[in-house]
Amino acid sequence: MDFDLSEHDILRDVTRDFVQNEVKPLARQIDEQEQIPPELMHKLKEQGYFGIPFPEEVGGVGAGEVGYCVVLDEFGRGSASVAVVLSAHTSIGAMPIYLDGTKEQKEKYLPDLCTGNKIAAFALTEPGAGSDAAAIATTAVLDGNDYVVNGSKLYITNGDIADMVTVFAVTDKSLGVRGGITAFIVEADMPGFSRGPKEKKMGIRGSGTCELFFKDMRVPKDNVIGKVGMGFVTAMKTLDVGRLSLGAACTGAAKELIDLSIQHASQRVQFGEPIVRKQAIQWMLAEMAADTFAMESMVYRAAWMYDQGKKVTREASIIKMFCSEALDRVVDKAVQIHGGMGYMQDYPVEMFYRDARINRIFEGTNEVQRMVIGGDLARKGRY
Amino acid sequence: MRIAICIKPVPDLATAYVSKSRGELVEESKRVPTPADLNAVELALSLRHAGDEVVAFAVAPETTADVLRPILAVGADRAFLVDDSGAQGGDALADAKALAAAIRHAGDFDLILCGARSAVHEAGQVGPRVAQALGVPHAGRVTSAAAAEGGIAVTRAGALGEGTLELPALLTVEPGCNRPRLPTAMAAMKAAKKPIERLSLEQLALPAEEVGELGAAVRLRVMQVPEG
Repeated sequence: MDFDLSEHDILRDVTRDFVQNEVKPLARQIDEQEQIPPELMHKLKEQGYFGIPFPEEVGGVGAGEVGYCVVLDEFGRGSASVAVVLSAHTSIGAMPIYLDGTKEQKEKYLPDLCTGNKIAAFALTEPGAGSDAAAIATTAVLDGNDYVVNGSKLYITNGDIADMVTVFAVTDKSLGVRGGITAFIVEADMPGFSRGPKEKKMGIRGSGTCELFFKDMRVPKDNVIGKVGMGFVTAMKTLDVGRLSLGAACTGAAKELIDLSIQHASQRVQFGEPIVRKQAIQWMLAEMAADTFAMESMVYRAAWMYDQGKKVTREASIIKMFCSEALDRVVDKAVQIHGGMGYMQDYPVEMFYRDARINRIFEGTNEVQRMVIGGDLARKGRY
Repeated sequence: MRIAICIKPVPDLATAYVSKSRGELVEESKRVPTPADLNAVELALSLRHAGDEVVAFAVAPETTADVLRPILAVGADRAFLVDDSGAQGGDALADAKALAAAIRHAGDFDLILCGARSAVHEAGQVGPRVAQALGVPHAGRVTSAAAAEGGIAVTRAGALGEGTLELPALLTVEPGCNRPRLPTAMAAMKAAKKPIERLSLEQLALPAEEVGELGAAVRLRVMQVPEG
């Protein structure tokens, strides 16, 4: 296995500098003001961060999944909110068009999505359908050359700013998830499209999350992604990519938390010496490092496999489950090492603690990941 | 106009430290360009017009070749590395000879830019010595420059004032005098694939005793950490 990431070294260096200079200083403001400042959004677009994995032919940076994970890893160090806006756009909003879209759809949408001129979102979850995708109630009924879409989607990341949303709707209820759900490209200026207010969240507060409503919204037949009825397959393929990058952002956060913890423990003196010399602290740091090393290893191994064209469904679920839980272990220890300071909003670890929690829920709850991993193992009858 | 930039790879000061017990510098991450060199690159890019060429040069082992990639990523057209083992371990005198030979090898340049001083020794000698070797005038500690009648007009740090130099000329650029641009993600990916052109002493027709450790007039004998 070629585990040489040197081709992406410069991308990592450049992104690290960008995050250090442009993102970290604003991280607390982004959390408090519950938005990414327009100037930072502009810089993110200018630097190409909305099109990292996509090939140059469609307007992307051409960094592949490994490069995309490198970028999310670095953004994870700076601001989970920014990482989420980028990944909801890239790996789940725009990715369905790249994976299953027609040539015309790719030509029409991907260049603007890659530059960030248009922002994308992914809309699967509904008030009555989350882990149980088969319970989707949004319908799309063919009427002439259009589908008439009715329903709503809940907790949609980037829903507040998206110009384009990949919407999953029932086209044939009798067929369920296998053949009955279709993916559509919905543009936010289509009549009948509306947004609810931004949700007030525990963490990743700089990324907008809201409900989307569709009332007799006419979507041209040409906006069907892939084949009619194959929407669930598109959703699952898309989420494979999303789950890898989620693991990458968790990895970056964990590395940052280790660095912050070492810095604090080196300065904090108790019993006459910096607490970093205490075994109790070193053992916590050791466990944090072991978790982080495992996260980093599995993320880049699976990203590399993905770039080689291998199927990574089980690996993506393992990464999503493990990295989100490992990050919770790491961030909990980071708060503990910081002591009282770790509980205060004056210090970044407090924000990391709140930001981390969503990772066990979105992009498929960890219970769903266990279903995927366990189901795959049971079906294959082997590791 | 053709602009040459000399890049000095230095330890990453964010992670490097001097081991008191071993008396040596411990580098935990790869080498980076001297910060002042990035100001020189920014100045070069701001002076560049369509059709101009910006070329980067460094004397460093092959393992340090990547130090030139950020320079390619922000817009340098080519990068040359004198990676011959005989050229390594030199001081300002020896490195300046190797850099001047590499610049000559790559053709005629109108302007040669160097960081005013490296982040390690801060001696500020390489730039003037390259100018001497190339036989061109030099202005030190330049903070800004612009094309002018008969050459290049420069402003220099502190009380050094302003002046105009005939081209070709060499400028050493004051650290922190401008804000180096960040490459885009796409430029970073492209730079990773661009070639870095290697130069041997034979290609440069440089005698081994004039460059590298053999050509150095100064030798480091011991490294000590000040007390306190």
